[in-house]
Amino acid sequence: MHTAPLSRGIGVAFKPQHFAALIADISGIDLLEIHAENYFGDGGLLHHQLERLCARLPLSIHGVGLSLGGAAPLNPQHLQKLKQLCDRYSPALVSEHLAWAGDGQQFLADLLPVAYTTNTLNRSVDHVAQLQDVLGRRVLIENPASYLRLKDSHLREADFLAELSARSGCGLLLDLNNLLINCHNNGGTADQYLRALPLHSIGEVHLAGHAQHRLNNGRTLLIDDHGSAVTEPTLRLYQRLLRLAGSRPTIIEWDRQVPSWTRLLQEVTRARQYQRGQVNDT
Amino acid sequence: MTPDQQQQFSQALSLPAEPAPLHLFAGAPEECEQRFQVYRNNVSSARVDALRQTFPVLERLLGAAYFSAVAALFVRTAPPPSPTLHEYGDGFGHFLRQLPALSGMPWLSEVAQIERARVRAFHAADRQAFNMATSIAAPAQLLAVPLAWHPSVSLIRAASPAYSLWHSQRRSLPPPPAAQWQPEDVLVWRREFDLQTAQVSGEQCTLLNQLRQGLSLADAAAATGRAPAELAADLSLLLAWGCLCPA
Repeated sequence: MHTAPLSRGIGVAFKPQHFAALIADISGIDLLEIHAENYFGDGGLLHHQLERLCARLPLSIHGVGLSLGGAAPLNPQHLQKLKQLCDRYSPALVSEHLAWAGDGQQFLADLLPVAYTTNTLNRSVDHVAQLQDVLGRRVLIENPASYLRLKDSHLREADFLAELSARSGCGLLLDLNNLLINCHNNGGTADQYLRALPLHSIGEVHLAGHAQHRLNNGRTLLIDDHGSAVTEPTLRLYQRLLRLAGSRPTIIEWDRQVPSWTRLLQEVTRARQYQRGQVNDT
Repeated sequence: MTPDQQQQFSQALSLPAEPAPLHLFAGAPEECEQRFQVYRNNVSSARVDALRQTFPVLERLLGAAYFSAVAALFVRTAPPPSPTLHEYGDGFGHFLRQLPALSGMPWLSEVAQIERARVRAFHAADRQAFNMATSIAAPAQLLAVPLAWHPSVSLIRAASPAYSLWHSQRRSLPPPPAAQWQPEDVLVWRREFDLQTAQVSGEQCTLLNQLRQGLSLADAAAATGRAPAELAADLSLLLAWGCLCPA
């Protein structure tokens, strides 16, 4: 197990179909991320693969279904499953989203937007504190992609995250693809966003590709589909973040139309060149 | 959002006939409606994809487009209760059976049971299978050994040739001819990490159910009136398959 704090390195969101190529030569990546809920089963091949990988690489456990930003109380069974997973694998990083994905009755299988209000902030602080208490560790909270602005929101997302981090003690997982998507879809600029964030709280970075969706009025929405290579604007923003905040462990997310391991490694190599300062300003 | 507002949001996401809760959003209503539709599409396609991953043979039997359509109907009536999506879909076979358009194909629900059992087996707890060579000193001791099912085991007693149908779709073979349609009993389990699916006899089913109830081989022989040697042959097969554990 690799539990030492991570300050740099490039990894990927793990796909079981890449296991054979990865275990044959693990040197291409520095860490690995899994979606927690995919490992809530008791045993079998997925856990066997993960045990072998964890013996050689630091792990990031990334939750997608806890609904930290939701109105319902956190599901105690879900919390326990997550704790068991963390106890079993001692991950270097644990993260979840500032979003909701269910209402206590049904799982909606998407990361849904949160109204940035004082009430939601208070509730999210409580939920994050509860999560950290159960796990006995600090977690990182990810900025979500959003396609709508909620009327009740009166705080900027970056201010909301800064306050959440200050009050709960959580770190932040900064998804630069989501940041660009939200600025494009809902207004604001990446510079304003970065200036409002407590950069020292960022414990991990996500990079991913996105799709475009044309609205009837001719505008485009950017969609966080994780179905393609990291875009150039996202990489340029990554470069800016690296200059402002220094290196952070970074994960490439490519979850749909999953590429070959060789192709994915090319993305890792490209991101590593940015992290090492080997790419000139564009 | 308040709990009520969140409820309105999630209700409208799950049911396309519901109007979008435009009063919650900032911006021009027509554009907000289209933006909300992005979430609706995400929710529906993620849920349908979860079913598609669990039921690949049903998808082949129904065709991709028809499968997507009936899966979309199912997710509206029985949405996943939790984010552990590999546990989702138990009621899908029964749902298909209730659809008037599929009433002539009751065997679909039994193929669905096989596919759900395989997903359960894939994620089931690890446990060492019973090994005769290392667990007992003499074959005669086998009569008294209490055995249990491996955590991955499911036994499906189908009224249709569900195994033959499932198998033919997986191997792109012709389905069994109608004249040879017979009920089939199907065993699903995992041997270490490999999923196994096999047709078993009625006697093997009975033995499996007796072992599940905690009967030893000697008790099972007494209960069924079968000769111990005959039972031992069935038991040897089940042990060789690795679907039994020490109780």
